[in-house]
Amino acid sequence: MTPNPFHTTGIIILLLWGLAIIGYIPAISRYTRFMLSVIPLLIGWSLLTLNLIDQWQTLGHPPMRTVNQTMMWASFFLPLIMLGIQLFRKTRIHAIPSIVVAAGLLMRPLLKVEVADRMLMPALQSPWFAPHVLIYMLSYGAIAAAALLALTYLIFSLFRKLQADSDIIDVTRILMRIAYPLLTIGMLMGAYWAKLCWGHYWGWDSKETAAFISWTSLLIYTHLDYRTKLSPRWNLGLALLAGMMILFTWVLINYLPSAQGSEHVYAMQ
Amino acid sequence: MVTTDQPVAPPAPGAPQKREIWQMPWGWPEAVLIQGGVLYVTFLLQYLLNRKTPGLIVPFPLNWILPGAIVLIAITLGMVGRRHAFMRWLSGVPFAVTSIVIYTLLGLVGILIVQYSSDQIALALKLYHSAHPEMISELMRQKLPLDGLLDFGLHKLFSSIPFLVATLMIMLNLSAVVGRRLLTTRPGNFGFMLNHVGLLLVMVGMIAGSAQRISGNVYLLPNQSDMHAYKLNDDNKVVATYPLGGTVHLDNFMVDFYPPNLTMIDITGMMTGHGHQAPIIDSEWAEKGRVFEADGLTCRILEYYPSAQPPTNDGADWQPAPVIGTPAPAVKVEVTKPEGMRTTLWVTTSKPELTYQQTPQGGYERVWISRIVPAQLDATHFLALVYREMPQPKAFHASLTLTEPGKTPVTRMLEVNKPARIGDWWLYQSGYDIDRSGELFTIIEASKDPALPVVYTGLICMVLGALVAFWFTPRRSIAAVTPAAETPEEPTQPVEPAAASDVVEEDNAL
Repeated sequence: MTPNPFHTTGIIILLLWGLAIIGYIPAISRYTRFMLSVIPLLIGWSLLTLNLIDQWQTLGHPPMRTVNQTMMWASFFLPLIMLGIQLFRKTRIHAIPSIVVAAGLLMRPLLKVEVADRMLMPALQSPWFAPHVLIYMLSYGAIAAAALLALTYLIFSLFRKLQADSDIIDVTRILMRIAYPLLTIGMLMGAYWAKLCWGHYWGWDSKETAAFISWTSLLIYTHLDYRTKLSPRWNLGLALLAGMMILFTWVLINYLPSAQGSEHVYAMQ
Repeated sequence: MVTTDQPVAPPAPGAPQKREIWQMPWGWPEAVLIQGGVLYVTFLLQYLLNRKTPGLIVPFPLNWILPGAIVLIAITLGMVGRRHAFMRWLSGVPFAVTSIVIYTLLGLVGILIVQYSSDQIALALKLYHSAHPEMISELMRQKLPLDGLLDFGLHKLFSSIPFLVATLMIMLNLSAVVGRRLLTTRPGNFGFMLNHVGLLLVMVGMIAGSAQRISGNVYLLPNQSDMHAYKLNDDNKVVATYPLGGTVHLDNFMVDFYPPNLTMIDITGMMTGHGHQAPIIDSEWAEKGRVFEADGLTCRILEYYPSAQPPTNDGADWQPAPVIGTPAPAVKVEVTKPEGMRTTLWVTTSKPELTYQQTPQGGYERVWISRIVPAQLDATHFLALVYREMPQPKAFHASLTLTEPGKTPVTRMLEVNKPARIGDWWLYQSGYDIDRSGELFTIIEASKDPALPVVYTGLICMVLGALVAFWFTPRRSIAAVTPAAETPEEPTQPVEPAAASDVVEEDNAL
């Protein structure tokens, strides 16, 4: 059986992030919380960063070609987004769902071995490759965190009424508002790159169409959140729906018959 | 409890009255009913027309007139009738979100159902309606179900009437809101306009371009020229020829392949009858200087030639040779055995050949054949150069001389992601292939799209709008402003602060 090069590092990261989750339990004192949460989170994040850098050097090209690699990048960005919101908004309500999502994204690289391929097809040898994927993973990470936050508190709302101005809605909104412009820029960047490479900016390819409807799901959220009196349940529900669309675009579409002829087939492993 | 015998109490003074459907101002129910009804009608139209046409193409000049007229009329009405209840509804969130939802659902259908090209559907329809529908091949019947879904255009959804009309409805909403906000001068309007005008331009460009965009391929062997691009159908027959307005001459075409893997194989299992496949112990890229160890054997690659010719004398080295078609590589390997003994040997592989094999359906398909030439190390260990499937290209580029009438010929290096231009045409290094004599020829895609500047302008506006949205995000939305507050909380960096003339969808709560 092919050994998994990420196995040891991944387990250590998961253990550290598990410790970080404990550190965010509200009952713990401030100093203990910092030592138990932020420090292990950053150490785990550093290990992940080093692994990504190592992959980049070994492969000789950006490690962004396969689903595993893209999930690792989304997991890379999520702690940064989480800590940023914690620092500027002085809230930790999103912390545990964000860490859970970041750790969850590492499960596939841990469990499913992908042979690192040093070959990179000519179409991907472009300066647009890395920015396009990185911007997408940044937005996917934010949406995934918003979706899990939404799911958690939708379940919580079965037992307790949610207020429209609560921190939960606020942080969900921030995450979605971070994600929307990034997703827009990533999509448009991809269109321009497609024109340079394939001769046409948009072909309604199944992956492109899926990316488009992910974008429209965020468009729906943005319009309704800003321009209507969206109730908390609707707000969180739409965020959750956007998260499900992202999951569909990122992973599930690869298994559909319509995707087999897709020009984005290089991402399917 | 109120019963029918008792008089109904009049509503309390100041209490809001419940709006009846179709009573102005319109809202969500009207948006859903109208747009849903339009969609229903378009699917019926598609059903009626579908047997006659494989896909809808808006012909020139209607491809510019139709979206242009909608945009101009809607913008004008938005400006002139900005306070009218109907324009407020047309440019409002209920209409916008409903049209986005419809677009999203159509896109989802387009993903779940396999989409086909116009050529495949045209051929299937032609045979289906011919005197001999039984001539439709079994393969086509399996690929393309000819009943049911095809009747409503779901196999060609993105060129169908419902999709076009859904696009026009979004454009109507965008144009109306752009018209309503065009004369607004507050700072937050800038980002709003960038986003909405940008998307509008992209949609106009896509509709206009879909009718006038032309693309074809140019196929050239080295030292060949051509003045045309060709469109082929799925049977590789030329269905259209497009003059390029100049000559494309291929000076040279080069393909740089990734090296194969130098693979150590243990045939112990085969010798003892256990299994039929020799397991691979280890494998390493065949690059000079690489080392790998397995089963006590250390292999160091001393030399790698992407293409090599055999030595003329026994014991002499292989020599590098130019790649003609596919490469026939060779590596020189120094093997150190556990007892310390060293030996040097050359490992090669046969030149991959393209051949044609008959399929079960009676047709022919092209397959690559590459024969491994293993080099023996000891009784059970062999080294071999192995391609995963076939030689994988690392890069390929065509050196072209482009000549336009009345202009000096120019030389361009055409690579993937680096297009070149001749007249109105863009040339893209699309791929390559091998002809029956084993020679490589380049495939250049040539395309022309007069609507491209409009689309690019829209893309730039949308990117700038996204950046503005990123920086100027309001802190709170309307839902977070409590009714008890005397003044709404002002956002620190407002994009769209509420104004009296602005639509605040207070009666459109969800």
